[in-house]
Amino acid sequence: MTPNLPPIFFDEARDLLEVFQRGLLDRGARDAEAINALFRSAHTLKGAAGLFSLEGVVQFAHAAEAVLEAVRSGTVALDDATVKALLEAHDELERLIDEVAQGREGQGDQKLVKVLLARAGGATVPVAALAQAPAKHRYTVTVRFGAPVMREGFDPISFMGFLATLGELSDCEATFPELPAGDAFDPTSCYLHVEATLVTSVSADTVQSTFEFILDSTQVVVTEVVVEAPPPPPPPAPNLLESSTPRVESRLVKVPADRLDELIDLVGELVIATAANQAVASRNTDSAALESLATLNQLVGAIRDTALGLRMVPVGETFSRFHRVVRDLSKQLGKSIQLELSGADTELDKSLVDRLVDPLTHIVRNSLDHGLETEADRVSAGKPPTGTLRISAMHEGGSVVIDVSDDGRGLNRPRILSKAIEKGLVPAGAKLATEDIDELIFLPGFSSAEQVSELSGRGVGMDVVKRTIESLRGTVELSSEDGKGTRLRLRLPLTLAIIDGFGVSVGTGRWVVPLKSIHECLDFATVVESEAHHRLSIRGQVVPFVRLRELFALSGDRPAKESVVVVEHADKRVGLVVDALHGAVQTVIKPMGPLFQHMEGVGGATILGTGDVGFILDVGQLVRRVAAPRARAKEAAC
Amino acid sequence: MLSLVSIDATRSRLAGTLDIGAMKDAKPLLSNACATGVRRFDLSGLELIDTAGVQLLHWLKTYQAKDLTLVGAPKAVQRTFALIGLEAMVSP
Repeated sequence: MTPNLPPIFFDEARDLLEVFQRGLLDRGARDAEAINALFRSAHTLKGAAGLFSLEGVVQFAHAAEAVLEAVRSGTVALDDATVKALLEAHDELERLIDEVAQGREGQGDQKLVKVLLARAGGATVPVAALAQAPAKHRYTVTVRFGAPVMREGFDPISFMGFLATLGELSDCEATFPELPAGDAFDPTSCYLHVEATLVTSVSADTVQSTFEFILDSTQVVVTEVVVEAPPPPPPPAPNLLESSTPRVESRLVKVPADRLDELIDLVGELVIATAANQAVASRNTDSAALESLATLNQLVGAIRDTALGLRMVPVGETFSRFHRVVRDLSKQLGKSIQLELSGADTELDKSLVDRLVDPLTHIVRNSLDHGLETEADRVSAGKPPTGTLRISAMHEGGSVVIDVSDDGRGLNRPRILSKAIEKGLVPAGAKLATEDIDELIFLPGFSSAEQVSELSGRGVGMDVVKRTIESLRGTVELSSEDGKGTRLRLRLPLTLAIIDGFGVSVGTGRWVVPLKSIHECLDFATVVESEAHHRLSIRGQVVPFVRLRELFALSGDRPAKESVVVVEHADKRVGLVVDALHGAVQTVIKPMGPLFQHMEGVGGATILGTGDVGFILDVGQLVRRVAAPRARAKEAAC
Repeated sequence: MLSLVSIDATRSRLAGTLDIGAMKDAKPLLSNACATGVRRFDLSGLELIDTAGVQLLHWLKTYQAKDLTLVGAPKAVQRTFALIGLEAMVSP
């Protein structure tokens, strides 16, 4: 029966597997410390799985550990074949962990276990191998389990059970020194202290690491009491587990994502309540209240930024999985491809990162399958035989920009156009600008048997990629040069929760423009060049404009004095003409109801300090709608 | 799920699971049994016991009924007690 495992087990297990895989794929890291890190991942996973009696996981982790032990001792090389075997072990472990998460517990591929153990030099002894190694140390292990341990899903006796697998456990003495009488006794609190003797070959750190999941609340003291004579030669291999670097105490606290979401929701409500107070104080022209609210506002802003920061994670963790995708697919396709990553430490909201995985995977597969050529094709085109796929991330304004680019053959535009005509997506004989042809690949139904191969296919087209990114309030931009390569640029907001906005009004309606998109605000009358052609002239530069009143068909007359908010997106500027400007507002993004979800140019809604609902403008969409047709018209005219 | 079946005035039989999930009911149930004179728990029907269960039985012996005996423990239950050196608390 699969035990009821705490979620932290799965988080830790997946983190360990990620570290394990990353270590294997990093060809540059083959030194003692890197091998030590790989060994530690497998060992810690084995320990954690052992606590919950997950025999299948323990068996595989042990087999991987045995291979790495052989690598450490120099009897096995960490060559391609070993890395391949360990990667297969990683996959099997991942599958087993997933099965456990689904309430099943499998045994794993026994053939692979044999392969691994054979590679390790015939180490066929299973889990208890460590226990049967020659004993070198005698420790007194004293454990004062913390009160919350059981409530957090851990069973203290299981830890002792795992300790017993490390060697010979004896002289166990359990006490409950703080066990209260009567109602003060909470049976879900742990009052257990245990002292035991452990004779084992493993280090004190390894013994200590048995308890690493509960060290926040539990005190563990491991004291070596007798050191037995070391075994005779062979000469000692360097002990990679004993790092020369001092052990750094972990300062990380894992918090369930829903608790963070709850915190951010509450911060959102705090922002709205503060804005409401400010609106009341402004209405009553209460200067003392306004002054004290200014301080409160600053603090709320700081709390908001800190709370949002808690959900920010580096995109690198997502990127690193593509090492494996590129490695496996390039072999499958018979292509030579290298992956270059940059900006891996760029941070993005965790909820966005999670939802980016599928679209990015599709883009990468497309690039490997269609964009990059075979070695022979590249050489005949005068290119280096190895193709390059680059994935990079960077901050730009209030957005994160993720580029996936390759130096492959580029888009075959004549073929895209003919296919679109053939599918009835474009009328026969249509002449389209380059950008419009490129956009065709994002149309639903464009994917075809020709375009979707076994690799890049899976029934998901670029339309789904684009829709997913747009649902995250992001945009997709495509650029391609014949014979030189293709770049897909994903532009995403930093967060989905709270932004700094700028309030404007048109008639009785209130709108919010994301502050980071705003270039400047001007008096419309001073910059309008042509009403008929919707053109502004700003310091000699022509900028198109649109009236929100016309765009959203809002009722009411235009005021005598209008303002223009110049916004910028992807290096394009557009003027948004509004009735009045209201200044900066902290904006809590609320999801739109189904009725409004497809409103072009609107990215969300918010509750303003007055209690009114304001719509948040989607600047990317507006700029594309206003600026792009003009650019294309210009291109077509040329 | 834990159940307690009275054998006679001084003996009761525990069955099911005595783990942290059962603690809310188990503490009053077993405490009440001790208060009404039960001095022997037959553990032969226990399918699972964890630290919370061991601790509760220890608490009963410490504060409710010092002469309480625990008998009929299945092997798995005995092993749980033995892992922390409390094997003497239960007998097969």
